[in-house]
Amino acid sequence: MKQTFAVCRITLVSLLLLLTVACSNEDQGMALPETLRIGILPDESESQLRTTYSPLFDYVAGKVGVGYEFVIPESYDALVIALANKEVDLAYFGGVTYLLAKERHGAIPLVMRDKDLRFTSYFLVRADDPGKKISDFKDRALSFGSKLSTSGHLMPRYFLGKLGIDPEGFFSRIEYSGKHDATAYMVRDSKVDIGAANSSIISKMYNDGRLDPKDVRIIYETPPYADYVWAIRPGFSNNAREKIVNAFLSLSPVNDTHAAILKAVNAGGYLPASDNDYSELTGIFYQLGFNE
Amino acid sequence: MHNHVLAYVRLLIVTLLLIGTVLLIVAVAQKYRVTQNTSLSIDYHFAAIQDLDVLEKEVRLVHGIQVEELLPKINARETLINEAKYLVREHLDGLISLQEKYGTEPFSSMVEKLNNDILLYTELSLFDANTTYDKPAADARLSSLLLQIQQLKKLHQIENTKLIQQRQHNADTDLQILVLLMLLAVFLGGFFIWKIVAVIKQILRQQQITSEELFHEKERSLTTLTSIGDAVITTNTQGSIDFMNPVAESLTGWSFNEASGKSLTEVLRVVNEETGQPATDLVKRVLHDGVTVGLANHTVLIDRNGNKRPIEDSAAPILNREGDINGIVIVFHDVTQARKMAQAMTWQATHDALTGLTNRHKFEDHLQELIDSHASDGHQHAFLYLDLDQFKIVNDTSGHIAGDELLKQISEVLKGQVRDIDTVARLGGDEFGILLASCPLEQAKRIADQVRQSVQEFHFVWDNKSFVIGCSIGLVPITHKMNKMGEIMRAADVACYAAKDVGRNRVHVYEPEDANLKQREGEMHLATQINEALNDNRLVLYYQTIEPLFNTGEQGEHFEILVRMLDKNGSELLPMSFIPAAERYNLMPQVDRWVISQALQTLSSWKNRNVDFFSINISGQSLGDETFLDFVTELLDKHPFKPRTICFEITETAAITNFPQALAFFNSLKEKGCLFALDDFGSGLSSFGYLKNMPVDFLKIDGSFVRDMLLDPIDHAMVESINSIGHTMHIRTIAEFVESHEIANELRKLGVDYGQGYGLSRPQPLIVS
Repeated sequence: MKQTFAVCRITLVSLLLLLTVACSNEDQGMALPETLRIGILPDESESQLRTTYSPLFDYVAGKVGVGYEFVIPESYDALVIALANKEVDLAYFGGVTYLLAKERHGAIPLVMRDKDLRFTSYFLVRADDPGKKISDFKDRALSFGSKLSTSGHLMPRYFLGKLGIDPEGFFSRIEYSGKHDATAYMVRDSKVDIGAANSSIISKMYNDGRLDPKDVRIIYETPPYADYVWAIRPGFSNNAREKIVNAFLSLSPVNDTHAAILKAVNAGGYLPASDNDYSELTGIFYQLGFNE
Repeated sequence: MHNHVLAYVRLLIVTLLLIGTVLLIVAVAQKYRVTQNTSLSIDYHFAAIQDLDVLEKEVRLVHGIQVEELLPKINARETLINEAKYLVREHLDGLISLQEKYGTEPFSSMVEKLNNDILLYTELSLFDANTTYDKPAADARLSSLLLQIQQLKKLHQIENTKLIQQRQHNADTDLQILVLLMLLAVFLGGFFIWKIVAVIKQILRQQQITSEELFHEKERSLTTLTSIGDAVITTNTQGSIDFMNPVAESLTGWSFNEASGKSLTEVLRVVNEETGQPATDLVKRVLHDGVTVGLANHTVLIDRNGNKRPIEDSAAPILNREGDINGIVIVFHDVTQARKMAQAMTWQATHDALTGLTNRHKFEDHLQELIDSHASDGHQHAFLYLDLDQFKIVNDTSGHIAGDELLKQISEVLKGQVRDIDTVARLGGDEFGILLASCPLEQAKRIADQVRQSVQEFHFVWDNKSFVIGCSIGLVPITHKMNKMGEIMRAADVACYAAKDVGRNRVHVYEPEDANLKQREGEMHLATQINEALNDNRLVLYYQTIEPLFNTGEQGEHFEILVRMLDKNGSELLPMSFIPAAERYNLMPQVDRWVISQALQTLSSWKNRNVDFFSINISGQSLGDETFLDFVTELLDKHPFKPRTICFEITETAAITNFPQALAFFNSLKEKGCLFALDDFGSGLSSFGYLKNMPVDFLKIDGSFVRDMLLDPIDHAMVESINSIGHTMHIRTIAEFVESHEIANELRKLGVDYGQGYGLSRPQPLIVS
């Protein structure tokens, strides 16, 4: 009799456990706030950033049905902290900052530009410099962008490593300009001899004339990697996230208005983003110790 | 049996549960495995309608999206739609409709209905409104298309990832369930297996117990069978032996190993004791009757060595559970002892213990047989009735042992004189009977005389004394006139008495026609006479004084009461003439009662006489009479005698023969104060030890010693030692047969207290004073 009871008890407990497991699959989380606070990676000047992203968010926020305000921190670090402090809801991260935000604060990737999947960095030198390849710049001065920049530091450093170059040993001096345009200007102004910067920004600078190919030329373009992502802080519902994603994805280059918005952010269009896109980057991130 | 069924049912249930659990685990594990191995394809298949070449140039090569040619040959609209539907459902992820030439009808309207089924539908016109190829516009459209496709692809990837994650999660859940189930299974399985093991163990144990029980039972049976005193053999239904115990081995002379498998009749050879015919085949009888059968009586077992042994046996069927006969068990035992015992019992019941002759009971049977035989076939038989003439003398002078020895030797003498078919019996005391079967009167006379002759010639020697023994024989022929046992016995008695009457040591043939004998038969029938005398008060009392041999200062008289019988003619008979007859016919209690009551009555009239004590004789037969003591007690209460004036005399022989009764009699009357004397002391030559237990006041020294004590030193010594023993035990002594003053003087010398006899005083009639 006793044994029969024991069997019954065990069976009952098991069934309860199964139920618990099965019922933990619901959509939870906040709806979007009335005013979406949008943080932007300060990889350019604040005014430039506002110019670049205002049209985008006029459209996106309108499509989602909320107001917005920009929060542009002073450094890459600050953006991550702002997200952690819930001072921003949605933020535009570079690869490294995204990984930090995700690792430390659970940021969730939403969308990326079509080109972000195949992002590259340029190594720039002065147009009149006789050097033909990076290895010709031994014992000369190099500038990365921000220390926490993916395209301005992490990936250039990574690919330098692939070329067999340890920056600290190879170059006479290493500078961190803090921003991509600043890096370009430091090369142009001979502050350094070679600089690594975001190819997208540099292309835009060439296009809008901020940089002249006669002053600065591209000596090397890295293989493509994924960079930049719009991520949202944790706590919002799936529905809220989907609204934002759909707003981004609805931008079509065929539509003239959309085309202007996209052109401002230097995108052909937006694509849904996922952690998978950054798996390679994540490996490098940890490999080079950027998580510390 | 019941337990077994239950156990098996439990085993079955538990096993099914265990199998169910295992199947469940397998099912979950299978699902988990499927989940793990499943992933969604992320290959995209688009179809380009109408102008594949353009699209391929722009899309496939640049972006690696697989674009397939779709329906270039299909013209019929309906067919196209249906085909598109089919393709979209089955093969494609999206459709791209390229407008190659301006004016071509857009495809969209055709595929409206398909919208729900496809992921992407895009119309891509490479022509502007002016039907000219506008490169920037075309690029923008193419970019948009590509973006859409990329978005689609990414969404798919994300969804796919989510799905995979979900599946992974589900798989994890499944894994958890699996683990739980495994745990459950391990637990339950353990429980079930434990249960199964327990059940199996229980079953095994039960079987073991059963087999152990069977083993023990068998052991016990075997032990029992080997231990019991009976011989046991079992056979199968064919009668072949399959078991024998040691007793059976010993009785049959066969060892079990040799006998095993042999036929029962070969090993157990049983024949009838008398006919020697083989006994019935037990196996057949048991198989036929189906019940236990006993062997016939008087069966004898002939063992392997030919020795015969009486046995008693029985055989019973061995039945199995269904009640069918499995075999037969034969139980038998050696009854040699039992038969001997039975024979001894029979012998004792029919023979006289002392002489080994046929006893009176058996003798009467034989006599009856002869009477019947004569009645049925007219054979003549004869009956001899013997009475030894000198037996009492031997008995009295040499004691019972001598008397017994005499009887034994006479028995041998008698047996030597008759044929085997004749019967010699001791009928009681010194009386013998001989039945002569098929013996005419003349021959019987001859035999009777030979018997008489041989007894006469026989000399009985005891203690260096030689006795000549004679016998008186009454012969009664068994004829049709003498055909009743009582008649024949009485006739024999009469004839024997007649033989004695005419001078002893002779044979008298009973003659029913003999008038004289008839006459004398009446006269001589003493018992009758004694009875008559008692009835007619023809007994008379005498008394003889017992004189103190020393002057003890006693003033009173001492005497012994004596009895005599008057015959019809008025002449007196002395006690020796009728007391033996009274004893033989058990008349002594009546005589004693008469004597006591008559003596007390007479003496109560002796007012002036100073009687110190008087003695009255009590026979052994009276001691054996249970009512006699009450009679005496009542009588004493009736008469105003001081009990201590009454002394009861009992012969030493009677006292010893009836010791318990004598003791009770003594003790009871002793309480009242009566005195006791042992009469004829010394003649019995008994041990004196019993004297210590008897409250005796006087020893009367047997007269045979006293009479010859002056001549015979042995007798003198006897008197002396009896007197000495008596005095040692503070018992006064009385000498009988004091026939002379010389004897009296000699007695005084020895210190004997009293004397009684003709030399001192003669008996005088006891009469009312």
